[in-house]
Amino acid sequence: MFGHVASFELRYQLKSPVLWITFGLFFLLTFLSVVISEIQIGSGGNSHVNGPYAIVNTIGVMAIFAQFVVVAFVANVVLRDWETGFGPILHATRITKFDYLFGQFTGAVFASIIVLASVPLAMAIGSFMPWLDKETLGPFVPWYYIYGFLVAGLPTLLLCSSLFFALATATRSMMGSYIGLVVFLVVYLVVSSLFARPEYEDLVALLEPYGLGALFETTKYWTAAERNSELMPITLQYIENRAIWGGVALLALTGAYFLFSFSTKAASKQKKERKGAVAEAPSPVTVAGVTKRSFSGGAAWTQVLARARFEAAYVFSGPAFIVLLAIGLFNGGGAMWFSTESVDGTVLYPTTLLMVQALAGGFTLFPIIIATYYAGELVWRDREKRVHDLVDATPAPDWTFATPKILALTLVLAGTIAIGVAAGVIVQLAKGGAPIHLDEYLVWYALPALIS
Amino acid sequence: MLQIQNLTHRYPNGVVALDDVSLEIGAGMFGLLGPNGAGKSTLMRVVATLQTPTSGKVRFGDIDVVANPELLRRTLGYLPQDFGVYPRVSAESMLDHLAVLKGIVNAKERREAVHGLLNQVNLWSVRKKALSGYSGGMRQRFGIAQALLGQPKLVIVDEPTAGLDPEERNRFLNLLAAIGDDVVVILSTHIVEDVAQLCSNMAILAGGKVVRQGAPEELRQSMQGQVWRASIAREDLEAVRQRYSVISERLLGGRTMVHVLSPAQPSGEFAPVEGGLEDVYFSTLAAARAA
Repeated sequence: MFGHVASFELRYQLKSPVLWITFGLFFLLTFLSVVISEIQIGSGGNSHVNGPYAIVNTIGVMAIFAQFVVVAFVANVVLRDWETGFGPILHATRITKFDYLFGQFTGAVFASIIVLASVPLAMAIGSFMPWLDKETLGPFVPWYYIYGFLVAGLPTLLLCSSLFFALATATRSMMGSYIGLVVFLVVYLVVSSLFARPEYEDLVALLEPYGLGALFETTKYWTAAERNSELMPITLQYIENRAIWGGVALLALTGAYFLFSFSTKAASKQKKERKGAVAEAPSPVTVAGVTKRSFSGGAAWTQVLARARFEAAYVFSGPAFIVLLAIGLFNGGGAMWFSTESVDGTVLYPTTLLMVQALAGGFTLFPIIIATYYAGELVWRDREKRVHDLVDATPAPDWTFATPKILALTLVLAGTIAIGVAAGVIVQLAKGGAPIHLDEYLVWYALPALIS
Repeated sequence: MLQIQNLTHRYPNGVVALDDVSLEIGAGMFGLLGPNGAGKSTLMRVVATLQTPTSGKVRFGDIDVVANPELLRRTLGYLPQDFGVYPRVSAESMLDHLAVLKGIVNAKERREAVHGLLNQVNLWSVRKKALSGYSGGMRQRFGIAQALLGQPKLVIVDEPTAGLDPEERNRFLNLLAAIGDDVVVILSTHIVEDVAQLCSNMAILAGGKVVRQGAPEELRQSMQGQVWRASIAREDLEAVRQRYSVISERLLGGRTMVHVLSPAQPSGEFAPVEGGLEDVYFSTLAAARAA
């Protein structure tokens, strides 16, 4: 049963365009990095593009990118049966929770393995391209690719799929899982930059989730010749690191198992019924003649404004907006806070232009991400929720549907930028000592950002 | 066969979907009739082990359904009210997949079962086509095929005919009628005719309570001589509603045809009618609302 579920899942994923598009993308990226020296992922300097060091490094880095694909696969496993409504049919069969959940999980993991397998494949094929400088090539050794995949690729895939499988089970939302991944990556980057000092090196190597630190620890003082001919050994540190994160992954899977349930639980009995006041029902409206309708241009504008308000309210209250904004403020706020300390240790005044500079570097990206995400979301929302038939059947003209979405997006962009500016003002107030120029914010930051 | 005792279910938002429901259901076709929101789907989901009730017991033969859902699932066929399908998967491979999940592990037997059912529900010619491209009627026929996989002893179909055209609806009811006599089939619907055509026993559910149960024919007989009808002008409707207990009203050629319940002839303009199951249903609902 387990094997059957896993293989059905894998066959299903093999038909999904996501798998083959990402396979192609990963293949192309890696291939280009091998055959064009300007594009580099892992290798560098004078080590061979198909040497063991470059191979393991590239696979390790691409596995980190592959997480975005892995989340899509494993979250799909959990969510598909809920979203399509097919779940009840499956849950009413004899299949056990273990077989169902982990069978599908296994299938999804194999699908992500296939995607990541494009990386060693592309490196191997790339290294045979005739125009490559023979100086940059070593002998073709299949074992290097297998080794790299096993120590730097597979563990990351397994860890990531377990963690986000559990998260998808808990949140029951694709967006929730992706937000989880972004938060995980931001925390990873922030923590590793905070601890990027020699005295923390062992600690980072031990606790870093991808195990690459521990793996490359030994190669730090390697010569180019060593990098081209020797595989990094499996150290005790690497094993400890993998054991710690393997434990985390197992914990996540166990959690997912207990969180997931075929049947919906009844409400707890203690919950009190709320006694709502029973409102007097209004008298039914007579069928003809009373409600006036208008199809004029003025009516259309009322419809546009009403819908713009409706769409903007949808974005502002969305969890994705709130979380993306929070991450943006975390990043931008940090940039602004530390912008007053210059490299040589002198402390600068928190002038408005300094804030603007920090905002432009640390925050600008987020309004754009938010706008891009919601542009697609707003356009497709009606169709996805199956209300487009209702909406399309109303007599409002077509342009009153597109215009409010654009208005709403502009509003969202302006609002997000305004929040960034407000954060800048708060930083200035907290640090004190410099005049606050709202007009400078407007001219140097808000307008350029909005127009772009 | 199926015993439901004092079943109560309260949703987290405080809605009481089932309120002390007790039913005895034997082999054969059992109709569960009720308006939208009466609690039919909740009852179906509880019996199908997909929802744990707040309190109460469900037994099927020797199986305690609430305590041992996995035992019931071995002998259960379930067609939910509304189900979606995976994109890009054909009816045949989906049915094959479900057959394995239902425990038909022998490949040869499985192929026979799948092919037999595809034939029976008249989907043989389109078995390689993706389910997502099926029409509503075809999708429902796929639904009943998967419910019948593995010779279940309890078949639950939840509002299967909603949204089907008359021809498809007939075809579907014929499929249901072909299920063996030793199987318990529960058909939930808001369409009175479905029950009248198929079921040997029925219950009416309203507001989460069982308000009437029995054999359709007996229930119909019990109404004889008490149902009267008259064709009245729309202006007079309000006055008639005030004076008599109106079972149903429908428009007919611009005038309103009312059925009223009364032990004796209400007035000269009323003529006796042989009460149908529909009159039983509507009068029961009206009584339940008044209570």
